[in-house]
Amino acid sequence: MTQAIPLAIKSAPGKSTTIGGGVQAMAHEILSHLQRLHETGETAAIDLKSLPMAPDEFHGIKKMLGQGEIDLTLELDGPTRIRETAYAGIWWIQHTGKDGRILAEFIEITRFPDFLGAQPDQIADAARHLRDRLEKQSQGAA
Amino acid sequence: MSTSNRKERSAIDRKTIGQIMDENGVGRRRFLKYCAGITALMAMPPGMTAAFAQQLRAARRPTVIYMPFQECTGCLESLTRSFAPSLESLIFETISLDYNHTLQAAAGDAAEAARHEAMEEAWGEYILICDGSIPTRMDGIYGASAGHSFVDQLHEAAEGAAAIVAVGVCASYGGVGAAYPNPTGAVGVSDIIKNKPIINVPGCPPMPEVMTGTLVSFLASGVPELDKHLRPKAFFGNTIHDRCYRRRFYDEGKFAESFDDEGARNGWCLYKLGCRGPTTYNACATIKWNGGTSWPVEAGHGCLGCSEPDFWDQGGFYEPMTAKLFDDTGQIAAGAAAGVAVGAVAAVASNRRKKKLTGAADKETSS
Repeated sequence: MTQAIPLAIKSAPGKSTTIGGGVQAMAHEILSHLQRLHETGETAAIDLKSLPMAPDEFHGIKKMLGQGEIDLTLELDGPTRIRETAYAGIWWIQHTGKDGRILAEFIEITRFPDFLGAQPDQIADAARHLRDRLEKQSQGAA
Repeated sequence: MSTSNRKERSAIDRKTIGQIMDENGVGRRRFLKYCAGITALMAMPPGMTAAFAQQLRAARRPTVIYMPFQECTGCLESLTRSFAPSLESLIFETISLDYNHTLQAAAGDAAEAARHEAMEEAWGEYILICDGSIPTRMDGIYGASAGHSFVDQLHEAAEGAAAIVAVGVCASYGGVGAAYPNPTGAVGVSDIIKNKPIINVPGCPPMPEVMTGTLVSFLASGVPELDKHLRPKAFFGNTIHDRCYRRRFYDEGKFAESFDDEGARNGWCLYKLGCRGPTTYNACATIKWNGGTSWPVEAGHGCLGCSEPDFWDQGGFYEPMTAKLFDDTGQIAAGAAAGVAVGAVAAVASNRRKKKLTGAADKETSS
């Protein structure tokens, strides 16, 4: 029997972090979304770039949410980093351009980020390509 | 452009943006990432990104005619800094920019011929971008190109447009050209054209991402929701003041009184130094300038209110907004004078009352 890959939480939620006014307000918003996700399955996202936050508050939220098991970086015209926070179901997603400029930054409250899932039209194209390939192969065999 | 080249390009134009993306090897997640940036700019819920991407992929490559009028080229300078070098440049390669006399190689009769040809081919479907105000005094004699006044050129180009995007405060409301005493009779596009959808993207210059974001959103879903000044609410829905990180100091009554005092060093509110943030609708506080690096208020200077109509004529840039209560001669304006007179009478009465009380108290003390 294969053993489970030992994944560990890299940093515990920042218990020692003093939660200021702005951070506290956002923490409550995230909590209400997380409860709704648990009870109804409804997902939510918070656009961090649209919030007028001081740099300290921004880092305060990041520190408070901590780092979970998953930390992915995709190379798509600049890195896109998808991190699960120390709280299951809360994801931190950062899209960066080639020049290092942050294009978009979200907190998503969901089982897994929508960005990772295949889109319906992508799936349809993939099915068509695979069918064509199999048909060509079977014609070749005949 | 030769006729054969144009025919070939017309065939490309019939393709959707999605088809062009696929041919250029742009992956769906790469495209989705680009759309995530646009939807975030437009303050759309992040959950809408996938639907927005699908709409944009299905959109056809549009012909764009960019007409400059009484302008300084600052808006075009700003626009060109939005999309290079990134996927945005690819998006804009998928827009057929058929006429822009600053960027195109052709000049003179050849340029005008290319514009007319492009307009004829896409009659009723092209997007017309206008830059600069339109002088109207003396039959528009103050602005002309290729033997035609700007007014006539605007009428001609607008007739075949599906929609018009007025970039910059000049094309939107007249801008500096229309500033007092407005010698050329300069006006904005919407003062002349009344029968086409018009989207104003004001600013001096407008934010590059707001211009490209407006165009991309138009491609995906048509004319966006506009405010009373015809600005997309997605970008102009909040005041600078509402989204300003210095707002808390305003609420606490902490103001910089000069550009080198303790308040300025502490990053307090710039209202008393003339900041127009409370009456200006724009996205500078959240999108920021120069690739999200900073914006005027973060650099220590108040907002000039450049996305508002008549912003040049709203008093001195370094006077508090309330200073405009005074007229050109330094006399208080009639309405304000009445208010001040009421206040002065109240102050005199209050002073008398105070003196009376003080006097009574003095008498009591001395007795």
